[in-house]
Amino acid sequence: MAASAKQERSRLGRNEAIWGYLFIAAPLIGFLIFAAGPLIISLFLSFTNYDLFTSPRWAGLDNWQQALSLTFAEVPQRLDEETGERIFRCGRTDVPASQVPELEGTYDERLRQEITCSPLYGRPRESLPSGYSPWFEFMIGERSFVVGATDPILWQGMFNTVFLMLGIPISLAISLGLAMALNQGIYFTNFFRLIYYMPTILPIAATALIWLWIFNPDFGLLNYALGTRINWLQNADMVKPSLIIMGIWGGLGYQMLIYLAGLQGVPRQLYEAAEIDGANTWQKFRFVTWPSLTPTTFFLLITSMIGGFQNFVQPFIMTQGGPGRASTTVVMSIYDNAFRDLQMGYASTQAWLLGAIIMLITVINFSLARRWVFYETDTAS
Amino acid sequence: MKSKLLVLVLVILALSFPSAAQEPVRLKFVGWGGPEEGSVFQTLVESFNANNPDVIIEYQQIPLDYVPTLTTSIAGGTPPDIAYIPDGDFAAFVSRGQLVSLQALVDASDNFDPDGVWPSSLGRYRWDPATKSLGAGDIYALPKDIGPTVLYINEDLFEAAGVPLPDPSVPMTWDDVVEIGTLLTVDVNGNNPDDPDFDPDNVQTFGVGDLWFEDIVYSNGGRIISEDGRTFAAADDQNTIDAIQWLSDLNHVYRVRPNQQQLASISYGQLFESGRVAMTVNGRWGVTGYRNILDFNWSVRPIPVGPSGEVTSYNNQDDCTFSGWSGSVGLAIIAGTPGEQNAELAYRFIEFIAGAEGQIEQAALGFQIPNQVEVAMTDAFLQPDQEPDNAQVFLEAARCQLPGPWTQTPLYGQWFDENFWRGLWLDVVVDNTQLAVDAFADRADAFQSGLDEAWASLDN
Repeated sequence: MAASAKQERSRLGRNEAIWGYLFIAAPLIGFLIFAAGPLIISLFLSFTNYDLFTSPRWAGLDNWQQALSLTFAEVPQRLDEETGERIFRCGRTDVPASQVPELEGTYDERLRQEITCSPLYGRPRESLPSGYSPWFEFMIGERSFVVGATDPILWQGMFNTVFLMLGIPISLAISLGLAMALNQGIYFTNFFRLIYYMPTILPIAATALIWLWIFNPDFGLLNYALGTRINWLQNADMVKPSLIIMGIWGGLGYQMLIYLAGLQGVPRQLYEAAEIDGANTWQKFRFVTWPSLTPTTFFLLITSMIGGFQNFVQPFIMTQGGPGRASTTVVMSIYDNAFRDLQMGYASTQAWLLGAIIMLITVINFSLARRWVFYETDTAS
Repeated sequence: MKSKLLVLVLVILALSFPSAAQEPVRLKFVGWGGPEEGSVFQTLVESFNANNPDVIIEYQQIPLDYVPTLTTSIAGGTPPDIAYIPDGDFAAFVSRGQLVSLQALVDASDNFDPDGVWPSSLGRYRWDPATKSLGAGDIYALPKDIGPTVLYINEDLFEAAGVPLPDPSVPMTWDDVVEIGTLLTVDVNGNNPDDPDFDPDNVQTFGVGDLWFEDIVYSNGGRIISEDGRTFAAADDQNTIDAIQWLSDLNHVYRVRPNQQQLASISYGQLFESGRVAMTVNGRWGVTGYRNILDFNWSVRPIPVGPSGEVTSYNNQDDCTFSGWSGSVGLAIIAGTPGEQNAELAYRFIEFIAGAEGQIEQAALGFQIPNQVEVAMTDAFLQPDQEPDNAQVFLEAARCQLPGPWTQTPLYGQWFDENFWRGLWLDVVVDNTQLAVDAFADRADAFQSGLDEAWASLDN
């Protein structure tokens, strides 16, 4: 009797297991075909040259070397070949240092401006080993240096991508503030939630076009409100802050919603206990609200950072990565290599590189999380 | 009952069989363009289909992302049979073996005479697979058109400033442009750029609008790449360097052109159309729109020439008074399609569009210069009853102007776009942080190695 019941149960269990496997089979097969397959193929392609039309050719580590090689060198001052004197540029003419005093400050009729002189340096590219292009130059005192890379666009893209992620902490702070304000039960709470959530459901392409007008230097809302004439998107120094502003606006609603959900989950009795202990508003936030919200913050931080590394649509629509390469992101570099230049192999290398970086940052985030994220089940420490 | 059915089947078979034997070949033809161009081509296609019962051309427009769409449709195995191939992308398509040689068909044809076509347009569509060179060898596409560039001027602004109109038969010099540009550039307080009180941030009208760098370089005798397309020539060419520097000076020294910030809100085209720019370069395709929308008197002038006294013209013709860039679009058969199997039918259509009838039809709209010299010389193009009244300027431009460096080289985006538009142009003309001479010297190796890689990519 007992044995048959056990048999019956195991038969039932087997049955359920079959059904279980069948249910997970659909997404599993989907993953294998549409994600794992391309993933493995792109890893293979990252070691090849492939242009879509002819079959891939093995390239070994060439692509990886091209992506990662970095170097730096000093750019020498330009000297007169005969006298060894330093050469200066005054207006549009190059003169030895001894002639600088008589030219400096004179007026150039044709250029309609006062002449200024500055020392000349060599060509940055000539200071680098062959195959390397200048990524950026910098001065230390009177000496000039150049950092070179075999693919400066990728490195610049990496820098830009990380720079644009500076918006994440700002955005988290603002959305937490908004969530707490809306959690107070003020009037029109739902209306405000709708307003702040709107950017999340609007298509990015549409909001990007609206922001193009907001950022317009002549007729834009932003310059009008600030009373400035800032060229937001076409100035290499302003374009990244501009994109950060837009990114914060776009991410606010979603983050606020998650924070609101987190706030609902903070146990009331903790506030009561804190009040009985005489805690003020700041102390209640610092010792009750904030620790209770750390899992939410952690979740938002991780997902925002992963999304941040994959930043593409806004700069692609609004600036095409420009001016120059001032707002090109890593994914834009991948896109250009793949679909403009049809270098699928090299694009795959960049994609895997980006994937590895995201993985690494996520692992670091998780290991750091033990120090600051509290879960309710944690014992007080 | 059964026999009735049998009879019916037999009748249907009998009816369908003869027509099945003459089933016309269906060929898909794609192009881009606005609604006007679409309706012109729809009419042309219908007229062709009516006269050619053995083939049906199915016309389809790809209004956006034309080249990527065409590229992926070929890679995806669903290509059209006949397609527009812009001259700038011809090298990419032909070097990948995606176009069918038309040489034998052209040779066998009585309807299309390659010698009657502007040499500067047909020459762009030649390719020699053995030596991998462009501009020589078999013809792989017929020009749908040639689109030369000229200077459009707003005559009303000249009149208002009391400046006499420049002679339409003699190109202006750079000094003329600066002088006239200074008189016609006026800020909101009525000051010109040479007044000390001139307010460059609040300019009412600009003397100079768009000047395409190729126009200015070629009309100063400069080159961007060598004739065989293998060498980056600009860095050693003083005429080219001077031309780029002058373009920068127009903004930063003479202040007669809108700067990048002003252009963020309004394009050169919009500035000209709203009467705020006196002189601007545009292609022939601008005429159709201008006839409809411009509410001021306008006409065309040759591209201004530089101080070198030299002109880089197509095939180095020495009697050209000016030069510049001209664009063109080719019509080609895509390899590996039913169009290739029925190349004679596909070619018959291409020839029809590129031939006299198709060209007259297209020219009537004002879009383009007919690719055939004879047709272009007639009133079908010159249209003496319509603006601009000095259309002869376009003919000189069509004869002398040449394609851009992208037509003569593969992978243009990679070697040129990156170093020029995102590098040199930004530093010299937009931001004025570098002189042209330094910018070219700094990037000469980058241009050359990019160009070498582009050519090497064809050897794979």
